[in-house]
Amino acid sequence: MFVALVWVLACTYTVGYAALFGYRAGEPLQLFFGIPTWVVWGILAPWLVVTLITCWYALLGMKDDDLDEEAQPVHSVVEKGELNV
Amino acid sequence: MSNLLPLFALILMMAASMWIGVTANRATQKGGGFLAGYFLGNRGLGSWSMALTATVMSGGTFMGFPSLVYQYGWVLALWIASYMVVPLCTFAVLGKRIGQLSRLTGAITLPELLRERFQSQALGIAASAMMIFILAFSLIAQFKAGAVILQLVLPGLPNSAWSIHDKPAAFIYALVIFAVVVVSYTVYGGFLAAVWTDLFQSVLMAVGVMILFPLALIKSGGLAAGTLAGVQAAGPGFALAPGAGRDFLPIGLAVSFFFMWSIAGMGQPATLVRLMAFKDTQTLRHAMFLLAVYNTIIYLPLVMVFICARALLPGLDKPDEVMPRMALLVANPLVAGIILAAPFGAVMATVSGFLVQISSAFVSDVYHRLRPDAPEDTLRRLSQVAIIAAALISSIGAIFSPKFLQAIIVFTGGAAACAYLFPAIMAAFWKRGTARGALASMLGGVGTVLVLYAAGWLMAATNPGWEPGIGEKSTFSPIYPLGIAPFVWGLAASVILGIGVSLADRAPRGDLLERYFPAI
Repeated sequence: MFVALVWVLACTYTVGYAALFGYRAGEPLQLFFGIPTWVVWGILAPWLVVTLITCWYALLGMKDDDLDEEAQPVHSVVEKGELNV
Repeated sequence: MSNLLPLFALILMMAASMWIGVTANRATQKGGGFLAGYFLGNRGLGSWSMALTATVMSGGTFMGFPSLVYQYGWVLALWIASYMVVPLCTFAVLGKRIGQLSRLTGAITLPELLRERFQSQALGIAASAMMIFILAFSLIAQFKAGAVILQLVLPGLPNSAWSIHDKPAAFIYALVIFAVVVVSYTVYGGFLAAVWTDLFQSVLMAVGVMILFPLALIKSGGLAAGTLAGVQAAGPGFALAPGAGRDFLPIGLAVSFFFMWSIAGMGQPATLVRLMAFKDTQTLRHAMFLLAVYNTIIYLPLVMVFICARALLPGLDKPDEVMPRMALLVANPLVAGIILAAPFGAVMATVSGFLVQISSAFVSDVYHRLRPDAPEDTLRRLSQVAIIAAALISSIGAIFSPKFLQAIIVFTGGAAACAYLFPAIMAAFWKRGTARGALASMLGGVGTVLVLYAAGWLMAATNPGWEPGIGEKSTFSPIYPLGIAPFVWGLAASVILGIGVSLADRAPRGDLLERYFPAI
């Protein structure tokens, strides 16, 4: 759910901001350190925020789990069991 | 002598990769059995290997993507924007469960995992067949990219001596050298060789971008100068969406590509197989952190570098060559060689990874199923023959490939995601999912993508001059119903069919669920 929330917010903000300010042919070009302002606020800024969120989640938010034990190599189960298809 | 320095750097890169192949071969022999070692590295991948080799960096990242930035301008920052969420999507959604399932099933390839989880031979065979088809097609673009870089630094080749399908002799020679080198170390070292060379080359890519970035800024007079030169040359669309001179990225496609890199990226076979190979969940968390930082320092500077390229290399008629030409232009020959080694390494790494996947699909998933008692020597020889055959076919395809590399990469990336993503999600999280549902999901998803590309090809063949008018201008264009990219339609078909057919089918056996959902 956490990942879905971040994805939806990032997509909505990024594409939404670009739709409002990036698709404006005919208007004077505004640059911020040589970068169009719609790119700065619509893409670079959320990119940095999401990177910080990801770093937090990776280091503190996500818990470790046991991956269970290795099974025998395959070529055993399907041959013995019934096949669904 | 200075002209030979870039070539010298690439030769060093190739020698290092071959040395890694030899080392990987030794490591592979330490684990339990040829197949598990050769195709999965005995599940021992660490954080750096996972972070820098599990996602979709490839020849496209360093060759195809720069050519699009050069052509269409700043809108490519929007096109690639979903890379901001790729680390979360790739590692946090499917990571733990695929790692767990692969251990519970004992599977060493993706088709094996799906077959065992759903107890279906048909599903396993379909997954293998699609992997061979999709990855072989994708390799065409990668082989072309490798040959393009090598061609530019190989001295004294007679470009006009002869040609095949518009590809000059120098390209063909470069293609042969590239193919021989990559196949050699991949054949010898298998999965670990692919992963370790990928890791080494990913680090080199970061170094290459870090060097190229300031050099491009200085040489072009800064980002503002680059942007304004681009606007002057290509029109105001260079600084705006939907792109310079064309409806490259209308809103529908902007949303589509946000799906593409983040969601579709999760379903790539190369990604999923790495999720089967990591050591423990701590490895997974650290990989997520490393990839978040890596993506930030790679992709945004890459856009900026090739915005500057418009000012430095105006009117380039082969945009796929913009990366190596920029390196040769802005840096002294030795530094150019180091920079060029980055995209060259990216291509080599992708090619070797895909070759291993194709080989595993054929040998482990098809041949070993038919001959479970085949001796290890036979499996080893067959794996190597499969790698060589796939490389040969893809090299021939590279001679006849379309103008833009990225068109092939988008097609194959989308098709692969439609084939594997939803079946993998069903396998990992949905107890009610059935084998028939997963098979329908796989076939329906890929079928939808293929139909939309075939329709584009038919339209172009029957109406000379037809092209979709949006997206990348290429000789390989799909149709875009409602302005949405084919892989989004394919993914929608995959989800609907997977759920619908599963619900219409008998519920899976209880013992199967107990085995594969122990803690859910």
